[in-house]
Amino acid sequence: MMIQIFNDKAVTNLKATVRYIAVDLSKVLLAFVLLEALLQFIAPEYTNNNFDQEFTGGHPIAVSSPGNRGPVVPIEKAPGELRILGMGDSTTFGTGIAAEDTWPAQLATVFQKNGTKATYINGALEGYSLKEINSVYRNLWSQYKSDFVVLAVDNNLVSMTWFRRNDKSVTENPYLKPIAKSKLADVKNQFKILSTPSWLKINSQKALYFVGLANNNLKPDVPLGATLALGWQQADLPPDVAERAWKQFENDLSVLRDSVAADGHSLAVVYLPPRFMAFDGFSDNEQQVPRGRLTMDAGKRLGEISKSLGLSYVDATEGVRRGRSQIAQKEGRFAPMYIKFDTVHLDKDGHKAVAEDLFGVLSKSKQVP
Amino acid sequence: MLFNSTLFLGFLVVVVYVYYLLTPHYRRWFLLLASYSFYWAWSVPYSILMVCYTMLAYKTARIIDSSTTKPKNRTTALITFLVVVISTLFVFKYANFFLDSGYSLLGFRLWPQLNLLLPLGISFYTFSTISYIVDVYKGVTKAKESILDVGLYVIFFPSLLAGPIVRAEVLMPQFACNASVDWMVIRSGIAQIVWGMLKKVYVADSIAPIANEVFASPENVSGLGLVLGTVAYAVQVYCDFSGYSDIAIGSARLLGIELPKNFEKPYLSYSITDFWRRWHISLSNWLRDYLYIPLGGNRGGNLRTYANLMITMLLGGLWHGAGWNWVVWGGLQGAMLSIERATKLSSKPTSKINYLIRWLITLCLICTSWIFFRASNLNSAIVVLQRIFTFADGRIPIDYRPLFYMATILLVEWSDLKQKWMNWAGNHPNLLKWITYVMAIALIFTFAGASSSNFLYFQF
Repeated sequence: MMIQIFNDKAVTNLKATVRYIAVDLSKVLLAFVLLEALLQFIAPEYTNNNFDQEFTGGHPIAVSSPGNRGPVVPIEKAPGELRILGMGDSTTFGTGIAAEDTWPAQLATVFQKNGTKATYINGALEGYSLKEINSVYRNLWSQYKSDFVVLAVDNNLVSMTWFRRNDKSVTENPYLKPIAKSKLADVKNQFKILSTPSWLKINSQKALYFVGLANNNLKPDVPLGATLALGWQQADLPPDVAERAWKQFENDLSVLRDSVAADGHSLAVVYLPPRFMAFDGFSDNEQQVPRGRLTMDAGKRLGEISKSLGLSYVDATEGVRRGRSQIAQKEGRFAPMYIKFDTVHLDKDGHKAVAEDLFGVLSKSKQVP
Repeated sequence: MLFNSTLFLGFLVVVVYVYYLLTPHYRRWFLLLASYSFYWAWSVPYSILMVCYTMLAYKTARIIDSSTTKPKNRTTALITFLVVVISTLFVFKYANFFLDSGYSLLGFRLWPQLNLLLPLGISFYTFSTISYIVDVYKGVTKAKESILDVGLYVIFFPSLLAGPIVRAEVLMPQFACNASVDWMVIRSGIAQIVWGMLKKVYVADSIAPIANEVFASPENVSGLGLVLGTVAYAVQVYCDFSGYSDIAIGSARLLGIELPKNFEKPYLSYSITDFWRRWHISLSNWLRDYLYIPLGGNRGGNLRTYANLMITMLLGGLWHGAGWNWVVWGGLQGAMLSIERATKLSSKPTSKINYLIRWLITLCLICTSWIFFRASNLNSAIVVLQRIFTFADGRIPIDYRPLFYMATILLVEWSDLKQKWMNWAGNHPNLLKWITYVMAIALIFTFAGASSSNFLYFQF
């Protein structure tokens, strides 16, 4: 006797289910296509929400052989050349924007417009700590004899400097390694350039923050995040952790200052504010950071440290605010100044505002011919 | 495998679909395989423990139920079974607790520290198998001839990790697995899963960070902040566990198997006695049937009744966790139940005002007792209470969101929204289908964004 595994209606049910799934999938697919078309038309900013080793927001990452983002710069300077070295972390590196839109590039452009033959080196890398910046400066960028060495400090740099204070080695520049190409990676990238997945992901993230499912609390054992530098209060976080982070930052900054001074230059520092501190609008705090928990003005603290170390200092907070209102007045558009759903990384307009602020200070320097 | 994960959503769809394609005989084997796969996603070695439980329960029940077994041997078999399973639970769950307590008292260790991982769901399947064997011993149910029935009873995946604790006479007959596809039942199961997911993912998980932070370091939080943190935990523990139960009941229903209700609007209780009729009903019933009544229940006079209540709730507290805070929590429940019994406050209120006053007092008492339930240890619970009652200051800004969530829960329960949703879903299959799709997509994105959090009751 044959053993019956499937019931009598199994084949009928199987066929019905296949038909049922096919119809429903077609409807879902149609809805997806319609939504994608709509978003491509009304919200193109969601397209290419892709930050990885190949692209950042749709802009290919071109890193020259020494490791700077942008074109290769010869070690020897040309006569009359004003060389700007921009250092920092992912914000300066230009997460989400093209190399030519980062503040070091735009600062060089502003100088050029004002008649100075300026070039730039973007020597930043994502996730750098101050100790790493100093190490890379001494071992690599120092020989390029830049006229201006500018360090851009965002809040992440402060927390990363604190968190990685005991690290001995310097992170390798991943962009100097060949990228292993695979068909699967290509498919993933094709998927990521669609608007709909980013729109769904970003908006569901926003909703999570809104209802509190995602919050801004720092992990007590891994206190990373933009809010640490702002004196974030959290019950299970030592109350003095922000002070200790800033103290560490001050120590490491003094080491970097000495490294730059050893080359006969002086270091300039610029503060890049997080979006929720630069602006007050609801859309400027999509991650619902409760400002009542913040006890420090990071821009002010960095200014005090820079002053005590004898460094030129620019707080770009006002510059970024001014940039938004100027764009609104001149171009009649709302400029977020930051990349999509990000509190730290500036967009092209934000970098421009920083560059203009820096130009205001650096152009008065005696290094400018 | 967590219920609130994309993996489980996929697993459930496949299991339900294949299940209905099979004949009843193969459905049983398939269900066993699916349940073990569910457990293997957490641990393969620990599933051996469940195989041992299955074989032990099967053999013991057969011995007890055999007409050739002498009464004395039946009792010996029962006692042996109880000693083995309770010792196993003790070793995994309580050995270190008693070791530490002994060390505090005596100054030396009676045996070396055990670094054992607590097997997921052990408290639940221990209680389930005990209920099966005791019921066979009492003649309430017959010993099953097929080991497959016992195996499924021990490891049935919807109720495996955190209940409901179902009696063998309720669950085992349903393992005939002969239900045909009933779309009304399936719709009802889906609606219950959607409801459970909403509670777990969008309420319990959203409020958890507030409670976690407050209880992680109560000395930094003001008295008011701790009150709000406690309310947050009250919301979290209810939505987390009742959400789990809803998903468990809904998942079982998709397979044509009906699990009993585990919660019945507990925060609308008018007394602690009423609360225990509505909260974790399957555990309350188990404690009543297999502990309180065998101890003598209320048959030995008032003092004996109070003592039985205290013992039952103390052990109930200890069942939840190995720590003095759990013991105090259980003791508090026992004391409150005894006081209510002595003062006749357990009876139904006679007027709306009376109900309102008693409901408010009950809610406050429940929330206060949650402090012992949530605190990491007894000292921490005392710190929380001290700071609340001395109106202490703290450095952390206060988050009032827990009040909103608690008000929402009370409103939802009072208006019986869950039942309305279930009825509506049953009558609108097409809309339910699209709501489920949207919910599934939203959940997938949610799980992708934030790491899925465990269910609180898994630790018990």
